[in-house]
Amino acid sequence: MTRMTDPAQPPSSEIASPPPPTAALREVNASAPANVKSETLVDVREFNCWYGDFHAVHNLSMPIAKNRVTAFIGPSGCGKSTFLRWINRMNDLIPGARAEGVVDLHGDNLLAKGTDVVTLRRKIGMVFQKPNPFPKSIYDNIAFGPRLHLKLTKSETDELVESSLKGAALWNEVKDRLKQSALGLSGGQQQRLCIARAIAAQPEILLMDEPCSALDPKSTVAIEDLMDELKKHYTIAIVTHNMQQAARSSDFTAFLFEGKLIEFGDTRKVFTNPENEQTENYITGRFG
Amino acid sequence: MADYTPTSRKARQIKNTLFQVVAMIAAGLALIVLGTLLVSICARGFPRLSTEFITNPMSSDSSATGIGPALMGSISILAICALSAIPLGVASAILLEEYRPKSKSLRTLHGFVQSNITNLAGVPSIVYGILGFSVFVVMFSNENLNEPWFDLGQDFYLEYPGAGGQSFYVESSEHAPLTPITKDADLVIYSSLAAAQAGREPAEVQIVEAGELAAIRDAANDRLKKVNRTMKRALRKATVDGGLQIDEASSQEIAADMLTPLKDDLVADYETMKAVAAEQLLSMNGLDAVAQLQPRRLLYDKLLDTEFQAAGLKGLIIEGTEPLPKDVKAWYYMQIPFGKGMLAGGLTLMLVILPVIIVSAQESIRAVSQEMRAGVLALGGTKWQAIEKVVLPSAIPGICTGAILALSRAIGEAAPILLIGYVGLQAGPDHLMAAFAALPLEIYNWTSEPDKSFRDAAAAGIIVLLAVLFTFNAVAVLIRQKFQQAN
Repeated sequence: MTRMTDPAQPPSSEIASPPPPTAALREVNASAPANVKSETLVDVREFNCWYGDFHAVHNLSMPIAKNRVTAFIGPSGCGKSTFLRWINRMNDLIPGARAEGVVDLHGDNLLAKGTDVVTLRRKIGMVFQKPNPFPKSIYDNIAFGPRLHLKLTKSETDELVESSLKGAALWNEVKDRLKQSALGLSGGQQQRLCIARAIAAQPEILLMDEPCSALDPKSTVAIEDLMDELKKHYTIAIVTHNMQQAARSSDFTAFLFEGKLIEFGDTRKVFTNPENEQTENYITGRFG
Repeated sequence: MADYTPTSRKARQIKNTLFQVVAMIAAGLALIVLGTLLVSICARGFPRLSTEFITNPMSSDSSATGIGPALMGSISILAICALSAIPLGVASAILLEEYRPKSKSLRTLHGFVQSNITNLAGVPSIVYGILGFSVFVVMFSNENLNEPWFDLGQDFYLEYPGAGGQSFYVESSEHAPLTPITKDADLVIYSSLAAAQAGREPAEVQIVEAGELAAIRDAANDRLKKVNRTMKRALRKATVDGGLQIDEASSQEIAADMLTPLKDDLVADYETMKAVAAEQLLSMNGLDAVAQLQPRRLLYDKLLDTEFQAAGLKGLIIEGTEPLPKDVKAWYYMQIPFGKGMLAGGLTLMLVILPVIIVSAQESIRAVSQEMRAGVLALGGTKWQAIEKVVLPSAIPGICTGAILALSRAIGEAAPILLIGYVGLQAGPDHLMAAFAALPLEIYNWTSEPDKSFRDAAAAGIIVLLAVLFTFNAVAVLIRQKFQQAN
């Protein structure tokens, strides 16, 4: 059974040579510190979740390493986004969604009933598939998160807005129009604005749910470069349909299929020497 | 391609043109009816429009009649309607849209409430009128409306007419008997209603028998006679033959001569009185002047006052005077049941437009994308923060437009307030429970008058009503444009 190239893969005119699926193997993240031992921040043990009667994720156990990028790949409907949205409990909003198991952050199970989701989501920022800036000025968008929790003076807010925009590599493009509506930005700028907005709330973890799927290749590259910078300060978990993206920008990769974790490991290893045949078939584009 | 039979191109074109013509005829008919109506109303109403028409109360004289109290009444009940319907409607819309229940039984209830609200938007307004009457005006009771079960913000006074046309007030309870005043009455009497309401120092009033008052008046008269004599003597001394023009210097001198004996009684007024007397003397001739001298009247009042003050009093009430009951209602006067007043009228209009406001606010809230809400929640915001900071600001243009269009419907409604409003009131409402007149009711009343000139007044009233409606709609359009530019 052979299929065409992953349809989610962006048209890659801006990238030097349009890499075929196998090119991912050559482009595997060179900066991944394979020999540096990484520290586990989030420990997932026997995670199961359901939508009503539908068992979406089965017995998932894996660590998410601190200050590393962990990529989740797999075909549509494999449960990767669902899992990501359980980490900051966004799935609480969906009627009939429930989860069991342990998602351990600093010794607390995030899935526990008594978890204060408002505080939790403050620690775990999220960037969505579609850029969703608020219909406010660029400045107010960035200051939005901090203002939800903190009483800030004007100069503190200014400082925070500047550092967040710099952190998201957007400062130079927008510094002269901070008071203008964020809706006037291009799609890629909007997505970086959303990243800036998320890091302005000073989270520990950044969840990215297919952050580049609505963007053009140039913006995609900008965001991938940004992730490399961001992981110095934050732990990043990213869901992507783009094999090259996972290979280029992540340190660890988890491959999910039909709600089960098929393979998890060092990105370099998963992409060059996968243990499982399904993984190999998927990353080489034979299915998915 | 297989051999399919093509449809006739010509037939399609004819149908196309035909439908366009039919649509134009339909629109044209509607425009003609509207145009005729507007032209005939303007032709009849414009000559009657004037500031007097807008400010005058209703009158049986068709040329003097106006819509003042009715306009005030309409605006007041509309304000009550807006202040109650908009917060209630928006809150209900937020509940229905943002707080959808998770459990199955509650979801059924939610669906039931939702479909009811949608249905309520279509209920005839006279039904709301009857509902409003029984809910707000009588509150399901069958009792006399003049005796509320509870009231607040009403003060009762007894008004006693005093000597010299002054009125004196006594605070009283609602059920105080209207007993005639007696000498041993233990009352705190205020010289004016304003003083009573402000709780200022009560006046010292003497209660006198009718005979005693006459004695005081006589005493004042006696003194006046004495003044007259002094004046005459002074004047006679100054004039030779009773016909001489008095020059300025002598007028001052005569006035001084006249009033010096009264210096002790007049005290502070002495200089003023002297100046008035001198001026009058200048313009008059001889002895005639005395008879016409203005200070006489002033003097009499002064003297009477002096007599009262001599008794250490601020006023007199004649014994046996019957008081009149007087009740003063504060603007916040409140009674339960509400009775036929502004509050009941405004709330009844609220019932009419509430479903419309809820449905339009729901539409606007639903139009805010789910990603916006998720964005706030993912930043660690609470549900209310998402509603307050992102959903409501985005939904406000839609909510405002819906609310203003609903309000412009409310101001033109006559049926709901038919049972609650009055026709022909002489003054606008001055407190929450006051009886009110409303424009649509007044217009309806005029159109049913046999006298044709009243129907012209009705046309003028319709023009005012239409002007108010157009203003409302213009505001709705402006708000929408302003917010669309802002976003």
